Amino acid sequence: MQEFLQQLVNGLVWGSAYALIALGYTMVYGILRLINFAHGDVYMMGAYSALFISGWLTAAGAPVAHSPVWAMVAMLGAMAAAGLLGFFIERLAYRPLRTAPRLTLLITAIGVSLFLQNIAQLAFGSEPRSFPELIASSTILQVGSVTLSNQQAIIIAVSVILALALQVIVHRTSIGRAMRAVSYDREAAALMGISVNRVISFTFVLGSALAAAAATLIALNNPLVTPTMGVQPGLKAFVAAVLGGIGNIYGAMAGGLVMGVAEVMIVGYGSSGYRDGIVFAILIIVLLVRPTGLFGSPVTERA
Amino acid sequence: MDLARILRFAAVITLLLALQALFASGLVNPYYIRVLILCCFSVMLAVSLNIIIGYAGQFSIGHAGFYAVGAYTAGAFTVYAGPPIRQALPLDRLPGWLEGTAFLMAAICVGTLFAALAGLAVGLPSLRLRGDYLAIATLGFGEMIRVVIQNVEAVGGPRGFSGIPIYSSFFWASLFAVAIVWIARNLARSRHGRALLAIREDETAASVLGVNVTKHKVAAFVLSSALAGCAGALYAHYEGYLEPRSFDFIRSIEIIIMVVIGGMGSTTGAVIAAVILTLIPELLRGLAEYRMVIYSALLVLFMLVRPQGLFGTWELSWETLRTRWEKRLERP
Amino acid sequence: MNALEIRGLTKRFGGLVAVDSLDLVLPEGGLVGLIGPNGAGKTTVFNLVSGLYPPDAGSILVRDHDLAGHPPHEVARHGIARTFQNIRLFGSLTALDNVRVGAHMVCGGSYLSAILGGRQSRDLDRRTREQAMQVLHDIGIERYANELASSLPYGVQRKLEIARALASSPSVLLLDEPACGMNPQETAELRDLVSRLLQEWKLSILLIEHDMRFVMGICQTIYVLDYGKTIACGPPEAIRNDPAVIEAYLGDAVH
Repeated sequence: MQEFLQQLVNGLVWGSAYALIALGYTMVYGILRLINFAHGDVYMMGAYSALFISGWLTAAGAPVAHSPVWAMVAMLGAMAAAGLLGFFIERLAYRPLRTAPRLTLLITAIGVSLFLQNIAQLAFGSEPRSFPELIASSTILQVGSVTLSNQQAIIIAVSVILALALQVIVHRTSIGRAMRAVSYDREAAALMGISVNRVISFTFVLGSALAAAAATLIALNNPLVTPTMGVQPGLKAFVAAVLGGIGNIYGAMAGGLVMGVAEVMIVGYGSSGYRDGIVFAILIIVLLVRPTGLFGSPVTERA
Repeated sequence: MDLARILRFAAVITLLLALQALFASGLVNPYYIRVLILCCFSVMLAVSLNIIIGYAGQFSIGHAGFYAVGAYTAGAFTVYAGPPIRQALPLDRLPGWLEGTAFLMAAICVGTLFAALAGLAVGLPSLRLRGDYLAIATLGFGEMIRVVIQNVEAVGGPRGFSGIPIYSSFFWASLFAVAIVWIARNLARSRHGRALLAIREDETAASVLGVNVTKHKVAAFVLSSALAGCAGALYAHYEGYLEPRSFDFIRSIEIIIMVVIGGMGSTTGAVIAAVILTLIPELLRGLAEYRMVIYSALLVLFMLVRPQGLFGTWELSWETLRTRWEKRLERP
Repeated sequence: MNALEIRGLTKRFGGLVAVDSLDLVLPEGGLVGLIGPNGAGKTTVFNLVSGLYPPDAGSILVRDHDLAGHPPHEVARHGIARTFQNIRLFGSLTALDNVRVGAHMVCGGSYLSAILGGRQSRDLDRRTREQAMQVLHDIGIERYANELASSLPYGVQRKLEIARALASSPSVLLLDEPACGMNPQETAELRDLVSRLLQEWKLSILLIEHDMRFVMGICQTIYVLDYGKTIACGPPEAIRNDPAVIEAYLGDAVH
């Protein structure tokens, strides 16, 4: 039982990071109906940004290793960098294709994904780089043999704060209202005087920043950074978004958590060889039983 | 069969045999032959995927999975069923090449059959889904197939499956590439092919005209998977070694890219794009680490400049050439 | 004998009763109009008859077969063809290929023969091509045969949709607002075409139309639907003077 609880805690930690990445997928899908394949690579770029920023801070003499404030600076910096990257990706690669068939857009997203991976490989090398220890690990909570480290607590707490912040943006601000309007009906929104392009840009910036936050948080626990590190988490976060009902923000968060827990459990109790398989098994079952995801509203088509 | 068709068939066989003889003579750089054979596999995969994506308009991201099923089952057949069959039948009296060919044909049947069954198993449940959801489900199935293969020790698991006898050659790869193109073209010209196009354009309208939408979608999916399986069987007996990583979703995406760049629905386009996209990474090999950066940048640029693909839905045939010519004549 | 007989047909969407125990008879060779204000449930009736929606109750009889609840492609096999209110052609296929898809059921040929390019398949292909050209010719749009359907003028698209339906050799044709968006001359042509379909093609036609002059001019019987219910049924002159119909169209303003 205690082992189970420990696995649950570990799963929730991973899951909250997946949730943050899944938010980016789900928001972009909600607005553009695009599966943004490059999102996992924006996550990867976010990780490199955080790595370099903390490197520079260390070089500048800031006591990075033991101060949460500097870790925060690194995260915010990475979020800004990834946000900028997301903005340019949308502006240069996706916007010219606003009226093109969706498959064209999808292939373009795949192209951008490959481009980011390869440019990262070229610029940063293919061998893994190691993150400096941003926050020294310590156990802050122990119940029986179930432990929660400060890093894990930070990952969960920051994820929750960011998700709540996103909720406030989407439901309480005018740009959030515009986002909802565009995802509901882009043309009608444009006729109501909403600048659709600005809303789409904003969505990409927001989603990319969240991915970079996830990357920095994961780096606390799992400090290796490689050019292809975004592929698997990206795929899984995407599955998480589908699981929750793609286009649905709460769904993405719930899907991320389910995904993280399921994955950790299968490794803990089953065979690690099927770690990647379980993700897709869940995906397929959900799609076949309830194609719109756990929280998605059913899409009916008129004959 | 009429005479013209028999002659055409004979001409193709002769040409491919002549090329095979040339390549076997050692006069041609083996690297070029290898690239050419890889082009044949790309053509088989792109043309077969085009049946489901281009004709039927159903977006599948799991094609590499069916390729893998064909490759692994065919490979397992020759490795595990080969020795007992050799013991049971007096095959050693046959000349070596004939024995190899017989095994290759049997392995192709096995690979094609299992890939078709896998296509049926995946297609039946998932073709109820539409658009992106279908894409995601097929992606999931494709990855599942890979994960399962990775966990089967008998075919090497994650280490890869080695020791498959090499029976395939340029002749067989190119012959089957031609055959698959021919099948796709025949399908497109039949009522079944037109039913698929109708489904792509408007399922509802197709159904009220008597097209059984589900049946045609599943049939197209099974055909497409079976042809990928056939390609897989040939690949297994060309490389002699298979590893699960070469059948992951990136591979599926490479095949989709060929179909999209060629122009969805155009077999001509699929063939040409398959060849070009197999050649580009080879041509860029001299650029070493810049190679994949340029490849991906080219891909994005191409989509921005020509979103409908190279050929749109245009098809190379005597008919289209004649129509084009007549239109030119009509113009003063 | 009736070409189509609908009994007690009912369809609910959530709490809304879109079609409420409709009874309708289309006699062999007859032309029956279905009219009513927007949202009265006319197109829903078509969608029920052609199998796009399963009905909640009732039967749809075609030559003693009850087609209620059958999928669209089976309904089509019983000789029911239709057009759509918002034209649904196969846009990126040529006009000719649109009609050839219409001939899908009648042209036969196995899958295997098709992919192997057998003689049977090629002969059938040639024959359906000729048949399709003939239909285009009969409708008078054969010169558009090799144009893409999406690039055709609106009036031609309407005719092409009818041609496509005809290619399936139906016995009953459901026309959903065929005159919608047509100018007076096109409407007159359409009226001729409908008469020819009745006389030369021996079809039985069920017609939804908003153009009252068109409906009153050609239909033998008219059913008026409002809120899913039949509020009147009879020959045109009776319908024209029916107070319930006038009220449904003009609302309470009459009183």
